[in-house]
Amino acid sequence: MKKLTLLFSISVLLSIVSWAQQASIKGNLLDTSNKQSLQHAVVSVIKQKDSVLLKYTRADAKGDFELKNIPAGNYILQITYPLYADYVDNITLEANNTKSLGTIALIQKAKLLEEVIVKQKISAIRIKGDTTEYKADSFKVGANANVQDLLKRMPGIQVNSKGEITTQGQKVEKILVDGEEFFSDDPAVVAQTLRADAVNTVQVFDKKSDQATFSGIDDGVKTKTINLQLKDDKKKGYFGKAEGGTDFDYYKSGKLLANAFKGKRKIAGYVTYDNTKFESLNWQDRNNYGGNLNTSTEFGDDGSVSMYYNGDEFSNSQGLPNALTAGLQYSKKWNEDKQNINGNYQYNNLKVNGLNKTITQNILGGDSSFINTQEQNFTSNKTRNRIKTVYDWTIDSTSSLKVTLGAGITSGDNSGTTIGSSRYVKDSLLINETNRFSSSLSENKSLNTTLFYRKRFAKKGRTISLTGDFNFSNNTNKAYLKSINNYYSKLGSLSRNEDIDQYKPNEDNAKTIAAKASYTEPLWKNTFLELNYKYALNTNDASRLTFNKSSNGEYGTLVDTFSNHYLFNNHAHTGGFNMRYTGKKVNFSVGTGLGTVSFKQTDVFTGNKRNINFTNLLPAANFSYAFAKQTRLNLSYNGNTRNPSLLQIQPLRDNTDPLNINIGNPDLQQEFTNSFNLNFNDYKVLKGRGIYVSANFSTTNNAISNSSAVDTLGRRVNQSINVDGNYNGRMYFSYSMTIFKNINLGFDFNPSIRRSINFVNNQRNINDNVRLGYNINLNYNSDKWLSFYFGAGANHNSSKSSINKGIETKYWTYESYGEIEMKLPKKWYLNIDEDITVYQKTAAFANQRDIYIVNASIKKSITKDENWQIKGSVNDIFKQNQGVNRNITSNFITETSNQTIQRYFLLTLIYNFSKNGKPSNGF
Amino acid sequence: MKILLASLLTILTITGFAQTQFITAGRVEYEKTYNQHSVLDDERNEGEWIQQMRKNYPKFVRDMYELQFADNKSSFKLAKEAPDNKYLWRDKPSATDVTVKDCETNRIVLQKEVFETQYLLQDSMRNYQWRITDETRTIAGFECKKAVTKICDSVYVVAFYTDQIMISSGPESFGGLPGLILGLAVPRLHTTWFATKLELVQPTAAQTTPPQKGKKTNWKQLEADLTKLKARWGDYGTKYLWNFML
Repeated sequence: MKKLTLLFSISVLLSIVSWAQQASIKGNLLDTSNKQSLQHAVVSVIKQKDSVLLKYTRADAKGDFELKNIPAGNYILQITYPLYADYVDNITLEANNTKSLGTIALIQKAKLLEEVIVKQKISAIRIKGDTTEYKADSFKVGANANVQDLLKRMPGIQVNSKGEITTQGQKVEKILVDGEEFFSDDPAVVAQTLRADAVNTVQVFDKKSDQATFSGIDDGVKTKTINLQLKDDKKKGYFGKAEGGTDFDYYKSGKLLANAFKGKRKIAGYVTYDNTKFESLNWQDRNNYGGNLNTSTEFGDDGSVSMYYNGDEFSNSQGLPNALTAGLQYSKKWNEDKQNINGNYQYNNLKVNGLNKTITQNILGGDSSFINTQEQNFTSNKTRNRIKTVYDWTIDSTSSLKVTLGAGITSGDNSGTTIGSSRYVKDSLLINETNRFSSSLSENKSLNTTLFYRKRFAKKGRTISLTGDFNFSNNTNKAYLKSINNYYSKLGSLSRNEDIDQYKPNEDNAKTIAAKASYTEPLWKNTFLELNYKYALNTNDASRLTFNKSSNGEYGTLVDTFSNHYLFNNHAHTGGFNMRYTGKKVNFSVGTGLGTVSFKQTDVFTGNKRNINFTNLLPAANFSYAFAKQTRLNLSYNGNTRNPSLLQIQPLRDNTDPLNINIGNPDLQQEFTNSFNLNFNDYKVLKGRGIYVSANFSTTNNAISNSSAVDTLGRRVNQSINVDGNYNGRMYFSYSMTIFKNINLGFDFNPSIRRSINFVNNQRNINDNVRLGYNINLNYNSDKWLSFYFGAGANHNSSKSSINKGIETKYWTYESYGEIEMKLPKKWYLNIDEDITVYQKTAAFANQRDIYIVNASIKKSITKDENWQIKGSVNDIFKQNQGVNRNITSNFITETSNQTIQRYFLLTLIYNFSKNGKPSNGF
Repeated sequence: MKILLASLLTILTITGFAQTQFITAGRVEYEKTYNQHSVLDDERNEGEWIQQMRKNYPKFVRDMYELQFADNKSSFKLAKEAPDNKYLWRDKPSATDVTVKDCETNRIVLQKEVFETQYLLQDSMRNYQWRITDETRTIAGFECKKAVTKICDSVYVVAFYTDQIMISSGPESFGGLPGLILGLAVPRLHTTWFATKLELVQPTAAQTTPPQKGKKTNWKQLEADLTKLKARWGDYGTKYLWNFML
């Protein structure tokens, strides 16, 4: 051991000694012909092995130079001086020796004979203006050839052993790849992009200086340039996925998705079937395979683009689904991407059956509080065919046009049975009971078109945009209603009975034409004025008829009280202005919209006409301050008018639910809401610490509220009325931080208060709700073997009504949700997630069950390339899913529970296929 | 007035001499060009969002930088802001970043805004391994030689320098060549810096004085701090790291 240490020390010593054995070099520079002083000439010592610069110096006034402390070895000596030819020589330096080079003579470049290069005349290539263009495919090269090999084959282009390129007798100074330079200097980039078969054309031209290109004034500075235009259809290929799962009994899920692309042309399609969930496509699937008909895109002033997905009646509902979907998308860009067309077709069929239970606690004065329970059994079968086409045309750099066309037909077949009853809280005495069966056949047709034109003017910030909309819809619904309703007196005897057997055909034709113009003018630096004007015309022809069953068994007798036919027309004019200031740190805007709406209603049966006019005021102000890049405060105010709907002024009488009757209020006025918002966020990227605060407070004058009187039969009679004193306040505070590596811990606290006023049995009732929410979450994100997310929250709800001070509802709910993902050895993947809700028991909801949902899945890749995968999953392991929703509004507390999919097991086989492409992960 | 006088003097001194002039003081304007679409190019199959982003943001953003130098000292910073530029992710150039190099003492002082933190990096100049080539190019009227080096182990940097401007400096933290770098390119980051003009003005001593403000750090510590981002953001984090290490 000692020996070894000794040996080691000796070798270290030796290496130090050898390092200390340095060489020197000295010499003198002279220009014999001009007697020019060569002071400041650069003398460089470059390693022969890798051309790396080791040392340099500049010659002194006499032309002398000396470089010391150079390790022994082989070097290139390079001497440069402006306008002189470079002096280059190989030298070998020996240890502890000063090499004296004596006098070195430098020669001016002008004295050197220029090499004469014969210009070739080539006719087989295209000349486009100043540009000579070679079609890359016409030159045969090997399969894995690089661009240099390709250039060597092209007439008029020479590539020497150093890789230097000359063309038309001149050295090529710049090589651009799709207009960009210097890729050829980074081998990593070369490997990715510069394969010969990726090149479409090779363009040779004299590039004007950037200054000249920018100003349009030719300064005569030109550089011989080669531009490699890459092929568009280097992007040619396909990708997709086939997936099928079953529990070998009832549950099935299958999807087939494919996308084939060639350059700027794309065809994508999918077919899915599922009875385990309503929607089989997730966000990525929708974007990759053309299922994004419900995605809308928004553009910000600063060029930002946001995308939203809005679900519809086919994406989520209650009950047990049976969903079949199919879609097809074609998109193409041409004319340098200036024109773009995107066509979509989608087919949906959704069959649902379900069972809903609703318990409503009605808090009333005295002993009259009661609880209503309803149980509904329903089935529905809906089919939709729709198309959407978007054509985008960038007319020139300042103007663009977008045309959107959408159309669809949805038909539905629904039926349901409802059994319900109301009982007093105090003594459980029966008030009423109902038993109803309804069925309907419906068909909705719609057509929507939008035209959008935008033009930017030469003056910065001056823009004009025009939007035109035309929408048409036709809805028909043929419904049958059979119901038995019994009402009981306080003594328990039957006091009234209602038997209904009716046919209710409805039809609704609506048209909307709207036009909007908006103009932005820069007033002075960073300050803009925006003016806009909008006109909209809506016409609606709606008939709702009710027929009683005649003695002959046919529905022939029109029931006047439940039949009507109205024509609605409304014109709306809205004008607005907005002043906007965009500074470095401060942004603010202030403005208002002012509009009038006039409604015209014609009762076709009676010939009665009614005109109502409203004036709308929409003031808004916004202020934001950026303390730093990731620290921003935003304050805003919005004023909003809301007009009563015609249904609130004059409702259509409907006896579908005889326990809820709506009557009109011709004196109803519009409401006005003042809303104040505060947002603050502060994110420290390096620390991973974030603070987010938001607060909102709004008050409403003349709020449109509800007056409901419960009659002795337990029927609720509702009317819309105006009230004052409603307010709503919400706050959200969150703090998150990185506690260790990629582990993030976050807290949030969100209190809210709400006062809503209504009338119950002609008595003013003030409802106050206070909600306090506390949450904590922990997450760990990593591409290693483990990732997890865990969150837990506690919410306290309390509500009281002035009408019945004795009952104050207070309860806690506790929630927890979490997910763990594990990548195990041998391509096993494990995933477990949980969603737990625990309710505090209250008098009204004594039977409320806590819910513990846990799902787990395990996946294994069965081929090397991970293309084939097999997955076993269990949904709702503890069979707990209830679909429970509890809601407190004014003096009603409602709890609904829906039949949902509970425990099932699924074995799924997944096949991913692709050639030259892969699904995009994010967007 | 002072500047005018100084430039007049310099011009006079120049014409007094023979053809070849060596420049020791002045101000160089660089145009920095960044292809911001490059971060969108990573996706092979483009979704709607990527397409719209491409349409809404220009491919290239250009900003003017300046290097003032005299007495073997140089200071590099943003010359003026370009309010019309639309930067992806609002990643606009920092107006407070300054790089001051002293070639006499081989020291570098950098004031650098890295997200919420303003760093003050004080260290010796990095020892770049420049591979000298015999390719040349004329930039802003000067014949420049090409040299190539690497940073962060694998990121290639291409420089064009002229021996006619004596200071061994260049854009950002680059230097170490026998003359001033007038053209610089980092292909992996799709970014280039090119000199557009040289003014023969003598900067004041204050203009090349090292900055003082910020959290003190050195090259090693800065790289360690930024490596955290790499872990959190993957490929994007790596690109940020390279950018901040220029």
